[in-house]
Amino acid sequence: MQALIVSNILLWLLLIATSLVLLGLIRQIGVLHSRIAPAGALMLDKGVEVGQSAPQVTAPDRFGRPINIGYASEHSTLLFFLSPTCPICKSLIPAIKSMSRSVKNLDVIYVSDGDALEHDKLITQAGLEKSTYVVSPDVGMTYQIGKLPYAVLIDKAGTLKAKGLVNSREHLDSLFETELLGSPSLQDYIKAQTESPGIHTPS
Amino acid sequence: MIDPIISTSAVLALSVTFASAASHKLRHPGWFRRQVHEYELIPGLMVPVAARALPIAELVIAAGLLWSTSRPYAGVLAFLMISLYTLAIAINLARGRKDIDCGCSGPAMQQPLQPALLARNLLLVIIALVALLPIIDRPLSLHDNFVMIAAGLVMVLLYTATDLWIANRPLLLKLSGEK
Repeated sequence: MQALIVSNILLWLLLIATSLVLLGLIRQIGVLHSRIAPAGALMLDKGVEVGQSAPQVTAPDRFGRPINIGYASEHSTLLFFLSPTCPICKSLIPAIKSMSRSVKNLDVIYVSDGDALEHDKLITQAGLEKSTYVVSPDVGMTYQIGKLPYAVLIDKAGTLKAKGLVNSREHLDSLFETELLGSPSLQDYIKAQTESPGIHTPS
Repeated sequence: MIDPIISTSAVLALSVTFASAASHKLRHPGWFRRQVHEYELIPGLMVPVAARALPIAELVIAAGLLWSTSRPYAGVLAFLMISLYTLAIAINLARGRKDIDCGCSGPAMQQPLQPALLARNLLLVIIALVALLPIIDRPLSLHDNFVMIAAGLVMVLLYTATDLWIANRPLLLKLSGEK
């Protein structure tokens, strides 16, 4: 009798554990689905083309210090265009922060414009006190940014390496990926691959 | 007549489900008001009243299920409540409105109305009916109590997992381009 009771209790505990694992797995599938959300279909490509030298602008950061954008420097630069009123921008800030830590020799510059008070609120909320945060309409106008959140990657020589609408961490990663592939965009990469014979591409 | 273990574990699971449903409705009243409005079953003027009353009723039912004196009444109310909700989903599905959010699991997890939800609610209806059945009177040991709580817990976990599973289905269909 004793053995049966012990076995019964053990089975219940294991069943609870199994249900927890099942729940965890299904949750993870849900998270994966939200991470592979469709990319921005709208490609409003204006401004400088990828592969050319980036336009040079100097704009003051929120303390009034001048920040040079588009000049040759020791580090690559990632411009992240955001607005305090855009929820997707806010959700991407942690990804940008982790990226600025993990990618070597990368300066991240947050660019926005509008009311200073709202920016202060966003900066405290997201913990961006130590980041370079430029509040100026000039940068966005020079790079002709029409949609947010938008990111631009400029290399050490001042060449515009990649740019695009970023809606998720994956889009952000893809900016760095294009640099690795040596093609300005994924579309160009696929095109180059199909043109060269002998390489199989999924249709 | 059923064994008290089956009845009590069903009651516990039902009570937790109702309490959690009430909690996200009370925490996001604006979201729930829009949800009630989207179902388009209640005249516009009554929407704010219904959006207030539903979560409170759910909370009362959740509490009522826990005491043996109020259990039969709360059980009947729970059964009616779930049937009403199932009917609301069925009516909107019949109208062909598959694009509205079902509002099943709080604002964090959106999912469109789909027939699978009817099956899920049917499961809840069965649990509510089990809770209503008369109980065999027998003395309960410590082990009986343990089994009741464990079974209730497993039911809640499996219900939550099923809920998430149903919510993931349309996302998968969208990915494979079937929708």
